[in-house]
Amino acid sequence: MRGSYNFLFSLFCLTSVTLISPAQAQQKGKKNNSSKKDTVNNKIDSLKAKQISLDEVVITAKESKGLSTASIIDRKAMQHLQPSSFTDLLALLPGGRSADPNLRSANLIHLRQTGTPSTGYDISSLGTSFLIDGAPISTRANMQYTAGLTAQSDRNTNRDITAKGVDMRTLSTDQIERVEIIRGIPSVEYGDITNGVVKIIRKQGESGVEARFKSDGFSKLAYVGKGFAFPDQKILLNVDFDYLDAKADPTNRYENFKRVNTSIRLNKLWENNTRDIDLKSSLDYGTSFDNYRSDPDLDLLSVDKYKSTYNRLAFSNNLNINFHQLGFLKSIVVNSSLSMQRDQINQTKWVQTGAATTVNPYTDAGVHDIGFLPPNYTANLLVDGKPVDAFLKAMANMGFKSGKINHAILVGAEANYSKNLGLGQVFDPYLPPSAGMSTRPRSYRDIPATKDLSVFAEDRINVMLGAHKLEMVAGARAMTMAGLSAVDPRANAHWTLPGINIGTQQLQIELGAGIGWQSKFPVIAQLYPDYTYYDLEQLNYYHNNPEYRKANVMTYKFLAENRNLQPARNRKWELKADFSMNRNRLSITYFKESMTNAFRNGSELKIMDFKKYDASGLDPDKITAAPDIKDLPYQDWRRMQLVSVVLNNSALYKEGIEYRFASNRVKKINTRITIYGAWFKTVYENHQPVYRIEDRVIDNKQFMYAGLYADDGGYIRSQLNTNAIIDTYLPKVGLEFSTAIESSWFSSKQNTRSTGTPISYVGLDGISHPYTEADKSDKYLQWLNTDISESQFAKTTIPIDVNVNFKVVKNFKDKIRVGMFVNRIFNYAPDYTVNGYTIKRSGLNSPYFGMELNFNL
Amino acid sequence: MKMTLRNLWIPLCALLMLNACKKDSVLDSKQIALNLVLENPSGLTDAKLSEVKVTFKEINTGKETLSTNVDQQKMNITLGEGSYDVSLAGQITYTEQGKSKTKKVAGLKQGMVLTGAQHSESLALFIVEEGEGFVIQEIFFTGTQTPENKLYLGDKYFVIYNNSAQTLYADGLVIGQSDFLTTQKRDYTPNVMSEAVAVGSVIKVPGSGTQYPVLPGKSIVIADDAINHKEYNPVSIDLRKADFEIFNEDADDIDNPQVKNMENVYGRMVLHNRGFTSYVLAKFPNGTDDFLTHQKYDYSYNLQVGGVVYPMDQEEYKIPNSWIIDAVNLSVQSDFQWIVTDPSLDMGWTFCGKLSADKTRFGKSVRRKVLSTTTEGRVILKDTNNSSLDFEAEAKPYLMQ
Repeated sequence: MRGSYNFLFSLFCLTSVTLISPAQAQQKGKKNNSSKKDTVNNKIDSLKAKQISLDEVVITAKESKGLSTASIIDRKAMQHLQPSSFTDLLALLPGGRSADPNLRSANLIHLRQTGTPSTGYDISSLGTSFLIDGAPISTRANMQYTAGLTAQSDRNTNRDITAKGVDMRTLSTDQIERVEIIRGIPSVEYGDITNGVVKIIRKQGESGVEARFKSDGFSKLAYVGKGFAFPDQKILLNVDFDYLDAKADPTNRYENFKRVNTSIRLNKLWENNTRDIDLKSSLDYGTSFDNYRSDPDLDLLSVDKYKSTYNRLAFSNNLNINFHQLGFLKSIVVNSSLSMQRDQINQTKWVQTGAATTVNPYTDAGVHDIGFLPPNYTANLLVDGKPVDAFLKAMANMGFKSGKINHAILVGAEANYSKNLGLGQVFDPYLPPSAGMSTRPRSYRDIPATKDLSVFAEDRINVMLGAHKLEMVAGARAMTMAGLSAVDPRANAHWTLPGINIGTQQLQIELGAGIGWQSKFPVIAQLYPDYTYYDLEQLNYYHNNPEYRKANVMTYKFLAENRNLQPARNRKWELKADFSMNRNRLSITYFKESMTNAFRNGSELKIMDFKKYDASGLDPDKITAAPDIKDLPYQDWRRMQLVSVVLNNSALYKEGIEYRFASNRVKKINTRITIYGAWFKTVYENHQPVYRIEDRVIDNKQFMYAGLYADDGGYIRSQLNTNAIIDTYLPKVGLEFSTAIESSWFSSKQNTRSTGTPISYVGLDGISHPYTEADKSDKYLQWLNTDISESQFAKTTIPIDVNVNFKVVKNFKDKIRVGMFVNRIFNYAPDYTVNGYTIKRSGLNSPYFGMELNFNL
Repeated sequence: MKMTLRNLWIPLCALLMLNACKKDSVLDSKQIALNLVLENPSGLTDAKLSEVKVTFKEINTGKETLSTNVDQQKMNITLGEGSYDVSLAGQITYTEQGKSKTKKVAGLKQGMVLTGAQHSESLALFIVEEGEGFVIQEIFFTGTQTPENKLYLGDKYFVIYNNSAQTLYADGLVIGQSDFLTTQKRDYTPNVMSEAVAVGSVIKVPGSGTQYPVLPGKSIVIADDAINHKEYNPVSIDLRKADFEIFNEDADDIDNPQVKNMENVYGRMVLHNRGFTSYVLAKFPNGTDDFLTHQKYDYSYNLQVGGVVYPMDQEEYKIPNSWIIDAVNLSVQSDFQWIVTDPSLDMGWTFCGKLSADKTRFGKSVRRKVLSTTTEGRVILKDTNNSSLDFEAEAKPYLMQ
């Protein structure tokens, strides 16, 4: 806490010093007014140059001019945004909005989506691929979940990214030169995706020592980097290091997140008359730690600790051979990477049993006599994951001309290998991390590796039809992994109309359309799930004399594997229009995406037989030994259970209009207005019939019927927002500032229709019976029927909510930049009424602010 | 166009100032003339009220205003604007079969909102039937805290007391835990509170009808787990001598063979350890099957979380008020919102701890106060259907040595 303030204070001092000193410098300058005219002229020249380059300065995301719909965020935009992690950049996408960094839980990407999806819809983030200089960040072998500790209070729940994709907290932004986020239909070059591609291009080339220090209420961030050039050897070398230390909140020093990223990148060029060979190699190391320990004021023992570490070492190569001769073959690109991770969760918990509790350490199915847990103990859980991922991709670019048509052909192949060499879930089965949990230790080494192979080809044509220009790309990608396969055709077209003269200006109209399928393979945790154990109590004889106590269970062990699991597949289509005139540009995209087989944790109905032993015949006061089940009478008993299994049952439909308008930078005041936003509608549904069991005890028995319901229901979410950013550059005084007005015009939510009456039900006999009207008044079966009130399906709309953010940066001779930002300096969010409830929103938003300092020496 | 950063700091700071200077509107204390109409219990002839005392408690400020000024079944009083809990205590005299009878009378209205210039409200009165049968003597719902400051939960218990002069049978007695929380007032529809209590779990004493006699002035103990909890937590209780224990089959619960198990009529009885639920003692006139088949309660309400309203549907059971022998509402001062029984069952509430999750509550129980002791030495417990008055809050558990 104190450290953070000290840091802020020092930054403030530095800011003041740098602000005051130029004023003194100016006074000095006045005295030397008779200095050489040349310098003045030089200054004017450089100012002019600055003026021209300012037109190019865009502090928001640019809309790509390419065939795929994409947002481009460059260094300038990132500098102005002052981000803490990659997550913050997403505020620049259509539909995005600036939000305070949340570094205490995993940050997942949800492109073109509104609403907070529940766990059945993780496909959005899982199906978005992150490529760093062409090499993917694979999360396929990630299994850092904590078995048996699924309670909300568990520290890992919010940080678990198993089958959820990349945690953007771990990605820093300072090493990045440029980001391209493909929201639309990507080239067939990119596979194992359903939703999008994030292409990160890192800094390359000579630079001075660049440094950045940022501080806000939660975190401190530091970055140092330098680029070296060896022109004789045609070598470029870049070295970067960055560090982030964030607290859960400013008053909590027991929960924090730390991140370190460092990278060495080498670029070597071999040139001759026939070809150029460009080799880019990089060695990256990244680590992050989530720490939690209990507050000693609240917890006398201070035993409870949670630490999750992530370590990634990656070696990537990017070989690019360009042929100069005008032959058929233009270039060959080979990308490869090998990454090794060592991820560990170390959790220590003081477990206090609520009362006498049994424990079953056995991993084999069948009947076991088991023991009781000690009253309290310290439990240790280690989740050790060592994912190893290898990636190889080779592509050839070819080109030829037939008639008026230019063809550019891309063919290639990609292979990925993922394996987890970790020790897995490690704990003492006699002292489990949670009393009453049924999970057992599991080694990840025994899980097979996954290997995928893809081939792809596309043809890009380019044709001039009079003054019209038509560009089209069509291709397909075939992929296979672990017996699964998918073929994804994709096509994009772009038509540039002849310019229309309006006065002295020319209006340029471009239209585009695309359609494409994208498939994502399941991850290792979904392909090879752990066993699910059930320990059914057959006898629990807790005699007052510890010697005579006996507990006996029947253990069932299910491998909840889904052999019919298919890759999730998303179909996208979109229409685009782009208008530009005098450097003013308006882009509009309409899209529709539908995915009906996304992964979700569903369930299978299992019926288990066991015996209930009756010890009431024994006289507890006369026995001389613990009872043996062999000697006891019993009753045959059954129990039904829904066992979790990964299914292809989630449906996700996305529809929307994305828009962006950027004005020309108005001369004199050097001001640009950018307006961007989106209307999104997202529908989350589970189409398939589902079994539900009432977890209730009725008349001394566990409820023993399962209802089959036609529809699991779903959610409809929509939103419309607009962000208007006005940014001004005053190069003479080295000042840049921006005001962002972020308006959420509305957001709404609604549940889709569902029924509370089952089609049929299954009893303990395992036979399905139709559910009749008479069953609605049966002592037990009435519980399967729920009258869902009409208000469940009513639409709720949250009205307008406007934030104003302000950022200012002072630039000193391009050497030092001092920045400051305040988000939500103003907030307008009127109270509103839902079902007679007034929801108060005013006064709930406090500003978020921070400062930063950049050096380029 | 000369501009320095310093020029900019001033408007910027001014903006920040503006943001900080938003004022909350000040509440004016208006006076309202209240006309309170007292409605006598129905079916009484020649009913007359006497010794009426009405307490108006403003919920937000806790300020209490007393009045005894009743004229012609009406009370006129001027009160400040606000939300009030109105409670009445008095006597009622009426004629039954030619004889004049006098009984205690009470009434309660929760959350009466006073705004405007005038307000009329009616208050339904009911006769206080002082308990003569089984009563809930003690509820130990908080559990204990281990020396390491961790929760220990298995040592909770109920004590049911025979407050009459006759031997009664515990067979078939049920204890229901309220489904609604006293700390969470919602518009549950349909609202059945005037006829029944919504319950989330129900346990029942086994027996044929005459298996478990309880002598006058004696009690039975129903434990969560009837074991020696000192084995697990040295500051806990030895409950091996309990008469009954709650055993949840199929839920990894333990079973002491030396103690009879309660029947789990509905749900799993887990006593709310912060004391936000209420408990009722009842007997089913037509048996368990009749209850389970005909008393299902489907209701809906609006759940408000973080500025979002979710309509909810839920299903539980309800126990009709006429089946209920005794009721105890529990809550805590800081979070109390309403009582979840009809006031005729219990018009008050008792507690352990003053705050939600109060650390001081552990190892404390609520115990019914002693009214008198008969010449034979039989203790008569106080039962005026007002737990605020009848119970000793934060008492030392009877079974804790």
